[in-house]
Amino acid sequence: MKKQINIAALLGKLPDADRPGTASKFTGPAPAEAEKLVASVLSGGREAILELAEMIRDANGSGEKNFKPGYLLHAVALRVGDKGRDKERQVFTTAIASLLGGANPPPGAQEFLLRELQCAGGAEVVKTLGGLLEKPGIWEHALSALVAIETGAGGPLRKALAGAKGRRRLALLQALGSLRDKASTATLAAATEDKDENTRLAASWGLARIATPDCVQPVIKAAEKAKSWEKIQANKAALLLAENLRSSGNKDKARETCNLLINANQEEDDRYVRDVAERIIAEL
Amino acid sequence: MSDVDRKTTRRRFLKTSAATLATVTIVKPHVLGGPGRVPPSETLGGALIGVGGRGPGTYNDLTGKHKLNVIKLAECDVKWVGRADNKKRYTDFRRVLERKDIDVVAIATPPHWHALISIAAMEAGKDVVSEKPMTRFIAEGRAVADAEKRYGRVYQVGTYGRFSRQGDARARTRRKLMKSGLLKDCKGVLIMHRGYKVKQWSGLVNTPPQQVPDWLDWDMYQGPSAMKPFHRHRFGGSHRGYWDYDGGGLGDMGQHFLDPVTWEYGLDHTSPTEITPHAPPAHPEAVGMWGWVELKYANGFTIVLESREWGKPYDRKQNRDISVNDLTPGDRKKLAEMPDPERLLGFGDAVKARKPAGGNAEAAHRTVTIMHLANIAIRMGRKIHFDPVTEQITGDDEANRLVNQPMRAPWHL
Repeated sequence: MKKQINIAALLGKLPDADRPGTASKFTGPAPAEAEKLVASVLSGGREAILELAEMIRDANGSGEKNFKPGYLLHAVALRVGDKGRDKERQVFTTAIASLLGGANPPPGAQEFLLRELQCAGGAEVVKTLGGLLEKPGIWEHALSALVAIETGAGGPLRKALAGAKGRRRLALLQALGSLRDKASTATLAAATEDKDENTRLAASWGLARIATPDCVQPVIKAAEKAKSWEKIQANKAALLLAENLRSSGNKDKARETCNLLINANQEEDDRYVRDVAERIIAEL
Repeated sequence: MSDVDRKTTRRRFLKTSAATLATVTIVKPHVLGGPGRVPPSETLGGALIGVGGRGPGTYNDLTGKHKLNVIKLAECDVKWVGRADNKKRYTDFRRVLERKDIDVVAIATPPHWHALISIAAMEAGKDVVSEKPMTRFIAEGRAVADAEKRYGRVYQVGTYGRFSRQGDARARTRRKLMKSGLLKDCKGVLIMHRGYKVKQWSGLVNTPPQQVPDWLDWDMYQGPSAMKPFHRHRFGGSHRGYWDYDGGGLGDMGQHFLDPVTWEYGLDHTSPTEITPHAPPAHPEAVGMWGWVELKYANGFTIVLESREWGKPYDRKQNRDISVNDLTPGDRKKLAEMPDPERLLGFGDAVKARKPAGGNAEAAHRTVTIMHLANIAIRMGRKIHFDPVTEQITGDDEANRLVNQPMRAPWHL
């Protein structure tokens, strides 16, 4: 049976900020003192973690103008992330995850809690995080946590993409590229023709990271059409793609990518791009 | 920016400026400046991105310290909402970088933008001087170094201690010794208690959200970092105290202090492997206090950063110099036969010669990685291990997440 822990008393043992209750600087406790406080929270199990997390009221981890709940919760997140503590880590992360998605805690507090999952979360909270990818105000923080966790994040991201629009769609596409999600290759290829410039660029970048042979045509096609800033970035994607194809042993496709890119950059001002492509070919 | 503005070319600028410019030639580094090609023209188009704080000084170094003949064609800052003309004054650096008449870019934004703008500038064919610290996290530095190499651009971080050190005979000998490969079990210990401004540049806790000023593009200011409520202390110099933008006094001043060290001790192509901190638990948002961090390299050489602003003094090791006396007589003879270190190229000479500058991206990245590793260990509150080849923290997934941090779309490396 878990011990009953007086969280308020633990918080009272933390040093105050330089000017308590106001925006001011702070010096934390000695590591040994902090370790005792963290151990006390963990000895209270899920209930103690929940009680502490529910004290947080805003994005800075404060509770009623007091930074201490967020500070102590973060110290716990760091402790459970250490080697050999996976069981405690999962108790911590699943407790935090259980607080997300509802009207309470307030969105700012949920932002903070999501960043703690970005720090310490694992596969056990991926499903919960995936369910938050449509929640106004917090979806972007859930997305960052999933990108940090990586393992198992592709599925929830692809699912959320189905109904996504605007900035959320852009962010999801970028995240899939960041994860090198091969199952999203066709989706990213289609997005290289999106009406939004940032979306087209995120799609080309993602394909460059996935770097399978079927990424060549959409990336090059996008580079051929692009102008100004978009052209600079589309060229970058094509060069990254060629380098990644070379690294994975697809030398013919790397050469094809470079030759197509050279053809798409025939202005005198583009000479430096041709130089890079020619060098990649020479090194094949 | 209108299409007409976008089409303003270097030629057009020079034509319209002919009354004030006596002699110019119409060539650009990325046209004529490749390896083995003719050096660039005497007159270059310049831009400053991030005009506050160090901005003017960083830009003026192009003509002063670096002796380049640069004409400022554009300036950019996120605090110019409603005041930008998108011809000379911009709020969006992308509109600056797509201009083909700009050859050299000076970057003096807050640090969380340094890497992305440096990379984008090199992708656009520009040479770059970027203020320190070079980056906000380790993977950014690798991406900057890759971009420098890929595009054959010249990059120089805005700190110059290594240029001074190369004039010191003992420093040159230390570099030669460390780079020689003859020192198998290095016993050197360098304890550095410089002015890290730990308390001065720490962040605030208990910061209530404030109204964003109407002259500031807060979304663009935050850029790749997680969107946070505006607070005045997160902006304008005091940004150093927040992990979203910098790494406190250590992150901000460390590159100045360590730049000469990584040159002198031949550490500009590797990184520490064991990092041990002494610090109170870190706040998740605000950078705070720390006592010391011990960073040991694979060859045994150890750097200790000591703040003297918090906790017990460092007492695990004593300062211990390295010298030729650490070698056997035979190895001393071999060392004497090896060439002295090559002179470092200043940014201006590097631009003209199309060769890497002394403070190039790889060297700068290895220097700033020391501070990033120190800060990661401080933030974790535990010893970490780093692989200098893969540039990953090993055996600590939580710590490794700080090596390559998610970026808010549309920004990515």
